[in-house]
Amino acid sequence: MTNRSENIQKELQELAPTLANLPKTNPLTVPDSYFEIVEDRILSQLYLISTTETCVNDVPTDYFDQVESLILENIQKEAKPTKIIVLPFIKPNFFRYAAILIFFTLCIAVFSFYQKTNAEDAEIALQEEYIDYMTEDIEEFDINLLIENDLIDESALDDVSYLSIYNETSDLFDSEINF
Amino acid sequence: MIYPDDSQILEFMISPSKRNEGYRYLVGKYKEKLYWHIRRLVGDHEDADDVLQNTFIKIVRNIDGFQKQSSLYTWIYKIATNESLNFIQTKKNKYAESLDGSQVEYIKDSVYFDENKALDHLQTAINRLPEKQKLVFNLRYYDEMPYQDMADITDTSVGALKASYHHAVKKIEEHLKATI
Repeated sequence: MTNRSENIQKELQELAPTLANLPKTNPLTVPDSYFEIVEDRILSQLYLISTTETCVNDVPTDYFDQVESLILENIQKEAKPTKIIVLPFIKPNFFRYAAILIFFTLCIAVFSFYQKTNAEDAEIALQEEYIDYMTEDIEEFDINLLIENDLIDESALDDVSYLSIYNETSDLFDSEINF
Repeated sequence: MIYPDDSQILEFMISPSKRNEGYRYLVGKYKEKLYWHIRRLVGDHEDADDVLQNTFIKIVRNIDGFQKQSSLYTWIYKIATNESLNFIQTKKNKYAESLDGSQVEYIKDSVYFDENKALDHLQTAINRLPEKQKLVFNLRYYDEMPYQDMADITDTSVGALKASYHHAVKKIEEHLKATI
């Protein structure tokens, strides 16, 4: 009997003498060869668990050293000339953009044409107004102004012909001199 | 067979190359001790057999998380104790009955029970104890375990364990005095 057993037995003797005097026989029994059988059965289970969990969690030796070159090799093997694919949505857009461009070109052309026409009309209208003024409404102040600036010959005013004044000053008009 | 000490068994179990050897030592060294510890708690042989296997599976699955704050021996006893108590609780819930009252007759009806009048009374008295007192009594009386190891297994103070053991022993003594 070990010291520990002795101490426990002594403790028990003090607490419960009847119990202490009972033999420590185990009344419970097990089937024959149970402990041999159960050991084999438990070990089989433990080996299975160990193998399964190792397979799931482990990777082959040097796997991470080799995996990079393996991936690059596979990429190079599968590399092919790049094929250009015209995506279907580009085609309708092309025509749409072309139509918009033509439309704006036409708009600019029409606008330019009408602008030019208007300028010519305005010039003609201004010339007509000028002729009307020179032939019908010219005032003395204006005639003096023309003479002072040597734009007309004073002698020509004897036979005053406003048309001739116009003819003499039309060049000035054309060169955009303001009266 | 002479088995290596617990620290060596632990090293084997952690090492991938010696793992299986470690399992063999572990099961060989502890199968009987754990079986009887479990059997005294759950009562029936078939139940103890199931709980024993579950205990070893749990030990192996959790061995990497073993912190070495306690000894391997107390750690595996703790697992066995928890497995047994969980089994008892599940069985209680399943059959909606107290094993404390009915377990005595159930064990005596078992094929694997050795008839002996005095020991019969002792088993009756033990099985009438509350679960905690029964656990403490078994660990001290049958396994002759120091209080400190019992404290590690049950997460209870040494003082509380001594009190539980004394209560248990007194109850059993009274039962034996009355029946023998």
